[in-house]
Amino acid sequence: MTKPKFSVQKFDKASHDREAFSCGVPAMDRWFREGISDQIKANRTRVWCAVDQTGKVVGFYALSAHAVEPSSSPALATRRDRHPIPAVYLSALATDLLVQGQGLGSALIADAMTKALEISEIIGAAALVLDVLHDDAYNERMKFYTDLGFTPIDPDVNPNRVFLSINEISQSAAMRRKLK
Amino acid sequence: MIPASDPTSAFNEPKSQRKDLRFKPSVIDAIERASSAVGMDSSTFITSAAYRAAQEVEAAQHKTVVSSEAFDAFAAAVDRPAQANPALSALFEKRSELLGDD
Repeated sequence: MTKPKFSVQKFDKASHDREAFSCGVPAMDRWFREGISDQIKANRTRVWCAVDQTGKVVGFYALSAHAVEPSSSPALATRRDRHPIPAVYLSALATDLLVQGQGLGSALIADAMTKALEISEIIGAAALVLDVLHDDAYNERMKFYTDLGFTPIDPDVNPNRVFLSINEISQSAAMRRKLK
Repeated sequence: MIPASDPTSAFNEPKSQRKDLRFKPSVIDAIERASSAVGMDSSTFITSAAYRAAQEVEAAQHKTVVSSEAFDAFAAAVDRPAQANPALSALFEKRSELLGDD
């Protein structure tokens, strides 16, 4: 079997050089360079990097714990218990301009889903949640996620915050394991 | 007067930090109009609006708060049994191709 083109590694300040990384969205590059260290240190997020065979960072994504909650107080709930539902939040995902078009973004989303599945196995989580970035490529990006089965949590208030159930992810991952 | 509150007034600290900001004229005009409409000086108005936005950003990372109707729809959707999803299967295929299998 040939060696995979890229590998995913947990972000480590000492071994992953972020200076040269550029995904074409300046805010995302800046967040990767300057915003993640404090959040990692505070245990609010974990960042996973895609590196090529030379060790260069060519992509990343970030995950954190999340909950979907009803705005009304649980004491007022009459129909059913409306307790917060645990989820995994994919707060960012980007690939370097140098490798865009090779499908690394798709592979990283699948990798994030695999991690969400593992997290769900360990502590329970019912969905993967993410925000579709609102820029010039918004329509294509939204279509990409919709085609995968993502739907907005609250379409009237924030159509960009979408989710996919862990059940869906689990089923597709299990089918792939069966086919192997 | 439109009422507005300053959430940063809860901090019992001296204003010891400076932050120099530059504004486009139209932006500062709008801010000054709105801050006088609520009876605040523009510095307090900007600080409280930015602080509120900061709180929202932090909260948005850790939770999604939705209406009861949206919550019930979400709860039902995550409980629903999965359907076959070829697009999702193709995504896992791509992961295997580029990143290898576990």
